[in-house]
Amino acid sequence: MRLPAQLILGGVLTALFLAAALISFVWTPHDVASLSIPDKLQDPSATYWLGTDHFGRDTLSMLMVGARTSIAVALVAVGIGIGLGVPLGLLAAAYRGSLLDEVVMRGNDLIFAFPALVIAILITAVFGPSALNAILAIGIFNIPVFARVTRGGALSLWTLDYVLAARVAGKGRFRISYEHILPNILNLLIVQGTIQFSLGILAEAALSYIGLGAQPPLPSWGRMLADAQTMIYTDARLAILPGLAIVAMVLGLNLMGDGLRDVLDPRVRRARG
Amino acid sequence: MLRFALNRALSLGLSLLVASVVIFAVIEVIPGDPAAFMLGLNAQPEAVEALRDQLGLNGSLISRYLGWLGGMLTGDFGVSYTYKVPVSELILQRLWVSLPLALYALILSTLIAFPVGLIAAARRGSATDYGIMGATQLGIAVPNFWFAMLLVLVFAVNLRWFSAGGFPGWDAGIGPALKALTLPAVALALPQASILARVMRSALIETLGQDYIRTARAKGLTRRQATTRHALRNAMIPVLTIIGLQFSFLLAGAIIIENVFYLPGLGRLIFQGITQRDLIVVESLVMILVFAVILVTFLVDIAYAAVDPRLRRRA
Amino acid sequence: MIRLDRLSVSVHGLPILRDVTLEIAPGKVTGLVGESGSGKSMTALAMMGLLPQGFVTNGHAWLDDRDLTTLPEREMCRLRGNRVGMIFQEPMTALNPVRCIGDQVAETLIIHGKANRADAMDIARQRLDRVGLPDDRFPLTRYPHELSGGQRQRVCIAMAVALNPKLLIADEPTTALDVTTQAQILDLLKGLVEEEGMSLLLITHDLAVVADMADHVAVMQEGEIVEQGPTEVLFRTMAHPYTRKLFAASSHQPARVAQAEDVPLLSVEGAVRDYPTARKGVFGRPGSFRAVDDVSFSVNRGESLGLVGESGCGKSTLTRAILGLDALQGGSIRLDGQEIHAGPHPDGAIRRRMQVVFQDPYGSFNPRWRVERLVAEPFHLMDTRPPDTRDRVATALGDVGLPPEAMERYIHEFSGGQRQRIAIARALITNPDLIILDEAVSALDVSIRAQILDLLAKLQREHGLAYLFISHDLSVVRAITDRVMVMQAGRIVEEGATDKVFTDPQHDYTRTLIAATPVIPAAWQGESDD
Repeated sequence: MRLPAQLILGGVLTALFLAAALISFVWTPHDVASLSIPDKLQDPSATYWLGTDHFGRDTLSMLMVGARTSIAVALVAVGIGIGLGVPLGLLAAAYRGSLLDEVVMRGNDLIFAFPALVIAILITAVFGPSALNAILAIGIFNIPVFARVTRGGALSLWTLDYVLAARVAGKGRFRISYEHILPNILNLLIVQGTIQFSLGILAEAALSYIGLGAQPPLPSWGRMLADAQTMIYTDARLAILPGLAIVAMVLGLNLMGDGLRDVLDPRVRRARG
Repeated sequence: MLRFALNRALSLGLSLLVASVVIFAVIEVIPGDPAAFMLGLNAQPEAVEALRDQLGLNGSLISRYLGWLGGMLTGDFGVSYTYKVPVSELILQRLWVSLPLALYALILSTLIAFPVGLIAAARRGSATDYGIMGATQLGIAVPNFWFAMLLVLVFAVNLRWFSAGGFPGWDAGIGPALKALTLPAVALALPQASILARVMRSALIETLGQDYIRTARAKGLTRRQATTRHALRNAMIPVLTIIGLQFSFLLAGAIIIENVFYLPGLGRLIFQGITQRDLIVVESLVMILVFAVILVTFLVDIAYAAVDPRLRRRA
Repeated sequence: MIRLDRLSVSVHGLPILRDVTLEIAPGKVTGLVGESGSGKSMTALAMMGLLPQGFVTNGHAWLDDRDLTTLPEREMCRLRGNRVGMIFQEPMTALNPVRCIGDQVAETLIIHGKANRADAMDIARQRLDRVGLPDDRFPLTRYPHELSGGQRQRVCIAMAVALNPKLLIADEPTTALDVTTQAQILDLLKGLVEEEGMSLLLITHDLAVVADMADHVAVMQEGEIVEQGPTEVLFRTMAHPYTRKLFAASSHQPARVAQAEDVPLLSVEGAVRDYPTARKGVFGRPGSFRAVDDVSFSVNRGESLGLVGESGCGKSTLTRAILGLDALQGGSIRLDGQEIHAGPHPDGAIRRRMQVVFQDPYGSFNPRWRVERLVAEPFHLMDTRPPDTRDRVATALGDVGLPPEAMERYIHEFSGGQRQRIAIARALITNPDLIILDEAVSALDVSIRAQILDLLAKLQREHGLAYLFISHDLSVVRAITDRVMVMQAGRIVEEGATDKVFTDPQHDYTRTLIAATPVIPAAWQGESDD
């Protein structure tokens, strides 16, 4: 099968950032923890490929570790969303119209009334800011997203005859959800997962930027932008590079999501002949 | 229709009530003693006790909650601990920056997205369509606060068309005030417009494939007539959903953007509240934000029913 | 006069229609019959200039002296709805859900500049009256979702004939409708043709509908017209083998032997099934609707019992209750004396003696499973999975005429008819005494349907099966059952030996159903024996 160009482009971009994040665990060009004021605000050079910031830290190394922070926060947040949202959505669909369904759906509506930023504000007000705070805020907001997608996909499958056939074969709702429903909504979940992943990257950047996310000295793209803002008149490079990193990463994930949708969605596949 | 509206209002009112319990619980119950929290670690026990009294913390949980709720219903949000003025006064003042900013951005985003989405859908598969889709893909990936910084860099630092931040206030006249809000609104609007344009396009393409479009064509409508007379209104249903969701994103986004442009809106207030541990301000502001989101959900539901007759009967 | 002259359509070089030549006479009904994929709908869309992008048309479609295949789009827009009207198969989705019916009918007039809005609304009112939607019950302000399928098709017809076109194309206009509604819509179309002197091109898969309606018939197969002529002549001669095959399949009578024992197997007594209806408001109480109302009957061992009724009569609800999927609100259902309970822990020992085949060959199988696992699924009803599962699956597949290699494949690799065979294999796997066939052949083309009916008859003989055959299609039920029940509005209104019920119906509703079912006149069939 021919893969769509956007899937390849998106996959390559995503893989690049994943690789950078993984490599940063064992090696970065320079140590991001060591400050070196004499080397501050250097332009790109052979030593500092992308220059240094106002503390003399290597920008490339910061970006690599920042990728790690972003990906970790977004990934765990998506994990929370899938881990709680998918079972809730499956249950709500399996017991459609029941009290359980009603509670899950109303609970969803309720969480939707709290944008991730508001949740982050609430948590920060109580526990103080941290990367964990960002994970929780984004993760909580992801729960209803996945619950809704799962329930919607599952409901349309529950009307199909193969589910009836499974019930005639004496299978219970749990077993049917697991054997027949979940594998057939996996496509939906993978696509939604990439979308939420990219939204998570954006949200983490925003939260860190306003100081509700990752705290110094942990490098993150959002914090780098916040630091750069004060120096925007003197050194625009510092304000541009982390932004470009965010754009490239999010773009990569979105392209990959669209590409996956085209490859995985049987409707689209059929339309292509 | 009225019945439908009442039903929705009732169910959203319930959501609001539950939301208030959640906020109250998180702020007042979980962290232990708010008075000690607000005063910090080294507070004198007498000072804490005095603040407890002032905050009305010595009553039972339920009476405190009811007091808070009742206060909000009558417009009394309590007195800010740091500012020593009624919170309602503070909020009202700041609302006049944040709300116009969010609305400005919403209008911009809709004005950009509708024609762009329409053109892309009408010329599906053409170079124009690919160009638009590529541009929106990029637009979605750009964080609005970073885009705001770029705007400052280009239009304030280099071109000097706009000031880099600050707000003259509405007293300075509508022109200057709007000018100060323009860069922030553009920064907020472009990413949202990208999303909306894509939704508009896919909703239109979906409706253009429906049987009733074929029926309309069989009646002699041109492609364009079938689009404007039959597809547009049906495509509005998903588009409205997104506009509703976007309002809460815009409101949240406004809070962040205010930081880039040093605008004296709700966002700055909320951060001051957090850094100064002014829980009363934070609590009330969060409640107001949630109220705004729920209100918009309600308005979108009503708009649905106006567009789609099938919904008017249902609750 | 409308004349198709060697009309051909291809997509990416692949021919869809080949040299279709057909004259559609004014004031007459021209029937175009064929199985799915024969190109009959493509012919209509090519005439309307509404083919999807990428389709290339050759040849001519003359409307008087103008060739519809070469007219510019702007000219075609002026013709569509004005000189040529069209209605489609799916009335449920053919109308714009957010605009009222008056607007949609009046639009035909407004768009062609024949009337201002007020006049157009007046004319729309007259047209809706004419198609049987009177003002007192169907004001112009009604929305499509407030109407039934038949009523919506009437609105579509009003829209299509609003400007008295010379030609009306009706593409399977009644396929989605119940038989009594079908009869009414066909009557309406016939009346319009006579009154207005327009031509009707009636596209259908149903030979009996054509025999009943058309003056001239063309039979299509794989994009070509294989035979055409005046209706009666065509039916009497049937020169082309495909016509004969189609005819034989549509009136196919599988060879059956009566083998029913006088021992009740399934007995339903006083079954009542209520549905909750939508809650009115947040605190409103859910209403309820009685879908099955005091139904009693029994199926004997080895018997084939038919259950006929129109959509919404409660037959599907009854099926679900018998299968133990939904609980009854009254009465009981017993299989061989043991009660069927709907609940989370079904009694496998009873349940495995009763299996089911559903209508939709596409939705009946999990697309991610191989056939072996699909067919073996009912083994879940056993306490332990038999060790020779694979052999048993192979045997069941053999019983329905599929090779054992089919086990390794996924369901999308099979055609609709093959899928229905696999569904039957799945039903056979537990060696049941009773198989419930819920519209099991309704989605199939006539030739495939005939094969499946033969298969069912064979399996009944070999395995001593009892069938509960549920269908809206009277001719199928007549072909395969010993006894039949007629269901209307949740009740069984008539029950008896199949032949007797069909030749001498007692209940008014049964009579209506039988009268509404189109048939090919017996006198035409004499010469076609082969």
